[in-house]
Amino acid sequence: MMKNLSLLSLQFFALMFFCWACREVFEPEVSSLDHNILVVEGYIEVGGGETSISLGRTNPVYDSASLSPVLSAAVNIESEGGSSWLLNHLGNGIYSLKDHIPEDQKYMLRISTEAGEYWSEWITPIITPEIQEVDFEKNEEGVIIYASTLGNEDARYFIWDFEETWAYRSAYRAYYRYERNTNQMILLKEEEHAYKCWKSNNSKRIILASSEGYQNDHIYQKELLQIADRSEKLGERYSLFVKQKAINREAFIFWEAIRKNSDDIGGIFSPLPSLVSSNLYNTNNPEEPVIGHISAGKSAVKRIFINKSEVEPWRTLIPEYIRCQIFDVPAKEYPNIYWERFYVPLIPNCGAPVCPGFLISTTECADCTARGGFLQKPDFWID
Amino acid sequence: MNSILRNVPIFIFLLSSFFAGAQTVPEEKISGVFSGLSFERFARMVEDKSNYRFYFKDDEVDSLLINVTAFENTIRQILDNIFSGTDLQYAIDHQFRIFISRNEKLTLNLSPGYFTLRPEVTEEEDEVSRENPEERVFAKNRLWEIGRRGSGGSHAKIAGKVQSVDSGEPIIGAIIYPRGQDERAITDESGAYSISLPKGRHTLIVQSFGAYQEQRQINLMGNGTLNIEMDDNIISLSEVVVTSKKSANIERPEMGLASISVQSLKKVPAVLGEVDVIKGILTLPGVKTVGEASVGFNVRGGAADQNLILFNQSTIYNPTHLFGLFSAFNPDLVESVDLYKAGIPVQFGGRLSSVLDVKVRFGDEEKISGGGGLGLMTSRLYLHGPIGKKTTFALGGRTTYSNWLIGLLEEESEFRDSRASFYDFNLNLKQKINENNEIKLFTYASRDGFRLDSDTTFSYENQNISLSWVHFYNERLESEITAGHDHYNFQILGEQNPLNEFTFGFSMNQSHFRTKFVYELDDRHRFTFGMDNVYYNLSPGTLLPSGEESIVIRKVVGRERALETAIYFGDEYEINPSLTVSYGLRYALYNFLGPNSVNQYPLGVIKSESTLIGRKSYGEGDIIHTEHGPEVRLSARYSFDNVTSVKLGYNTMRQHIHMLTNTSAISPTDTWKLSDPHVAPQTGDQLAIGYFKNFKNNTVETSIEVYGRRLMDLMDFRSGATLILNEAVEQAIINTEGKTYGVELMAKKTEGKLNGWISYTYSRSLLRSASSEVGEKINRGKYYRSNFDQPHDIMVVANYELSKRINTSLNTNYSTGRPITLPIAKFEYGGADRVFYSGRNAYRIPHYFRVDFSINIEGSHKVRKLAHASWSLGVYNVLGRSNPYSVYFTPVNGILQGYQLSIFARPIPFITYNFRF
Repeated sequence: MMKNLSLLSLQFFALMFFCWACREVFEPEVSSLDHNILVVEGYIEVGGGETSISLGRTNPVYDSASLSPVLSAAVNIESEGGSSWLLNHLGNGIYSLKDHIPEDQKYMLRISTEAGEYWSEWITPIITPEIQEVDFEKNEEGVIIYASTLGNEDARYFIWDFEETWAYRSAYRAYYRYERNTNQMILLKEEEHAYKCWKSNNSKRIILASSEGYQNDHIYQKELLQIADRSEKLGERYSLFVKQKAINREAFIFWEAIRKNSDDIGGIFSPLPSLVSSNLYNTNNPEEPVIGHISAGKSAVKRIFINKSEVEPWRTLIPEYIRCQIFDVPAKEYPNIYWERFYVPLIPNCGAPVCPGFLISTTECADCTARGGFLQKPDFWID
Repeated sequence: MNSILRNVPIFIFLLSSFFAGAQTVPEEKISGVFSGLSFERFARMVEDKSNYRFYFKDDEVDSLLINVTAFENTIRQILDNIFSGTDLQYAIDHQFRIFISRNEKLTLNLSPGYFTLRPEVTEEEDEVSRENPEERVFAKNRLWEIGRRGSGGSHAKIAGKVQSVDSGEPIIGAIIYPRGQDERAITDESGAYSISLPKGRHTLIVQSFGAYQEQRQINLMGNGTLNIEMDDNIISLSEVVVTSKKSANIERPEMGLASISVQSLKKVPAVLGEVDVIKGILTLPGVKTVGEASVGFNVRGGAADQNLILFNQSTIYNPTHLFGLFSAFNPDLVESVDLYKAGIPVQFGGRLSSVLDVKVRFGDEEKISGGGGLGLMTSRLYLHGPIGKKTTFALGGRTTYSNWLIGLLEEESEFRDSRASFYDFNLNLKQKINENNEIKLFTYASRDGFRLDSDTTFSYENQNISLSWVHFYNERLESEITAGHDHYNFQILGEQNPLNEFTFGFSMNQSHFRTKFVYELDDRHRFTFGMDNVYYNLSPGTLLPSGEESIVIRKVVGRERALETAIYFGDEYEINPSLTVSYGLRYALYNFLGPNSVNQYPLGVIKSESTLIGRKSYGEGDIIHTEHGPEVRLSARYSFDNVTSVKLGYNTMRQHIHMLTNTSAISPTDTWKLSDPHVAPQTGDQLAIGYFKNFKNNTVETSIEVYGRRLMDLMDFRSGATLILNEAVEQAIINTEGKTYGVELMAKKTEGKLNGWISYTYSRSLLRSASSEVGEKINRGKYYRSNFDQPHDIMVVANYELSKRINTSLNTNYSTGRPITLPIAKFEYGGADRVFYSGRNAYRIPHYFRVDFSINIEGSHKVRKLAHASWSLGVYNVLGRSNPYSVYFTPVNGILQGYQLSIFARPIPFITYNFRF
């Protein structure tokens, strides 16, 4: 906050006070090579489980797209013992392998692209200790979710990622659907109601911790995320799938740098960023920068569920629902309404024995999929 | 008399007697043949035909036989002839009396009305009284007898002071030498000198740039005192005290010393017409700044916090006004400015790169005078002079009227509620208790306030006070004991809305007690020794809610305290006239003191939040951590002849106080930190060699200096570290080492209608993460450019005197653009968009080029006039070039866009009216 303040001040100071300062567009000449850096992200999962490596190339900083996927690479994992596994391209630059890879070997990632051959250094897999516990606590700001684990001599640095999934409902339940061809309201079956949805999010923060310095290498209650008070996530039932990976120190430094580099962008008074290290290199040109640090090992996972009842009282506030309204529409108006995109019929508006019209609402309020959820209950979901 | 005539066998006598007025005394010409005469006879003959009268003792002249033929000769020519080869001397006074004496060289007997025979000036009578103006005219020709006759030894020592006749203030850097001999002495900062000479007659020449040459005839008989008063340059009057040294660049043993006179400062075109000490030193080779509106300056590739900025021994933490637009020193109160880039004297320490020693004036001893200036944005006023017989004062202040200017902005202007202002104030007093004791009081206060719109107010203050006691034990030993307190604070007051009103600030308090002794063992050794004690008390940062409604959470970073003690001893040893060595040792002891609590980490691991194992508390008076180490100072000068010398210097430095900055420009919010168990003191050393040669009778000075420096335990910071209000700064520090090297070429013409200097500097400043660093390494542990690595720098300062009253000045500066880290690509990683940066400082902002022009017009240069006025006008950045101050990136519609910001992107005219009385 202070930094921004002072940045602002100086510019304004100069601009206003003397009216002599000038702000001009600055487009430094940056060699095209620098625009096109290979980005490798992934984890070699040993002892069964899915290995996933994503490949892309950076875009100029002035571009709107952030990453161009590398679609036609050959990605191999090689072991010290001479075995080799080829990863399948699943599309969009994601390469995957589901074979069993032994735990007791060192591995190397070999990526062949049109621009050259990239190898990783030899990576020793680290068997991640089990996640002791994923627990949560309610506080003034909402609910905070922690993970605890016990490190050991081989596994002292940890990175977590998670996928959260939660169920939510639309503001109103729509029992009908409008059929434009016949100008009819059609009653839906219950399983067709777009009333209850599930939604998922992947972690965007980089969550790191080291067990160094903790007695017995015990990492106790490392914060994974905070769910804000009144969030819809805990309005019904919530599930968190946590993946914990033990990484080596170099990887830890890499992730820490990535994490810190992304917050501030080169302002006058913003901190100087630093180049992130990598354990991959171009075999023909080791000086070429490559972004990414590949780790190997066996990850540990844990899923928990949190019911609304466990955090009561929990008043959910969904901002989009605040302005939800129900309109009364006479039958003759049906053809004039933009049903498909904006409106949903709820129930017939029956004042007397006859029902002269329908109560309708906006899609946003009566169709939970309109807010990005899906109707299909996830496989792991236990109610 | 007639009988003499009778006794002359051959005698032709012709006498030509010319007009003999009382004011102009043409010497009578004497013709005649004086053959085979006794002196007595000769004297009578001359007396008969001229106005001369001889006074002599018979027994001193009775061995003489005169054989002289004279034709239209002066009496001096005749007497010189007669006395050559004898031990007889003569003197002629105003009344045509000729005194003959033996052995004693010219014991001048002068008429009491005009000249007084000086009594012996001895140790008991140190002070030579001030001469009245009529006396001064003759002071050059009078014979000054120094010391007591009959003291032992073949040599004797003269000591004294050189002062300005107008102001009574010391003349610094004046050279004193006997005509035709090699000995030299240079006056120090108090105008004092001492020189040892063979006993007997000498003509002492005193030279100081900007003042007339003075000379004194002396007869040296024993150790004694001779004070000399000189006329200042009549144009500069007493206002300017010049420290520039004529051949001092050849003579002085220190190297890397740049003195800049207030006079030449005044010629350097300045932004908005303000004479500016820091802008002045930026014209010197090896001194740079990262931008026009930045707080600090960089000396020989060092960081801005590595400069010790002393204002009369008081440390100034922020030497600028309005975030760098003006420097904090009021030029009217500045007596001299010395910047030590290498060869730092042993009495200074505690910073790695340089010492900027700004000395203040303590006032004229003669009369009260003053002056001031009116500029477009600022105005200033000063007054100085004596109060009573023994006290002098100097008082000065500056202020802005920019608030009033802003008030004139149109009603709708979004800046109408903005404010920017500063003031500074000096009051200095000097009290002479007696011949041997002097007390000086120095006070300084400055304040800057700046408000953006109506909601955020920035302010900072410097407050300094010091009291010095100067004591002269005898001619060889003097001491100066100084006690003082320095305060600096910075504050931001945010008033955007009542809910989050806040006050953010940090402050430093520093108390110091210094003792310094200067002892001159003999004319070859000059010892400097003493002790410095500095007690630091820092408040690194506080964030407090302001107002009743504010919900800002209070955050206070614990105070830090430390005591830095240094003892030092130095010797300036003149081995022979060609070779002078200056060496010294300073030993610094640093104690980090409680109460405080210190974060604990296991050994050898990255210090981070996740490795923090606890905090250890210390009580008041506990010594938490101790650091100590020596600082070596060594410099030597060998002069081949009077105009050529070679100098060599080596010094090591230690620094226990660090500015926390990880931004490309120094931000005003950058706070300071003391060394503690996690933050090692910065150390460094420097080796420098210089070759100095003067041409054209010392009016053209040239020099080449080459230097190399090593810097250890510098601080760089981990990516994205937040330094403000950080209670665990050690987690952000990357231990860094640096190397800088360069060559500085300079040619300076000190006199003539066209004068000035041209300099070229090639320098590099590189950093590298220490190999012992366990955490992240910047640029993979390879060397990278520091923020102020600007290899090429050319500076041309040219002054041209159109007439005695009109002086023009042109200032041209080119330098390589400073390095910058650019975001060059973007990508997605770990679920979010990220930006890829170039290697640290791999790119540069565009080159810097600026030309300034100014004219100084003196109203009149009559010496006796009630008030003197002068105009200073000119244009800053004549070419109007947009020199980027900084480059920054900001997302515009989701896409990063780079901007360059220039502070003075157009020609900026200025005009200032100066007056003095």
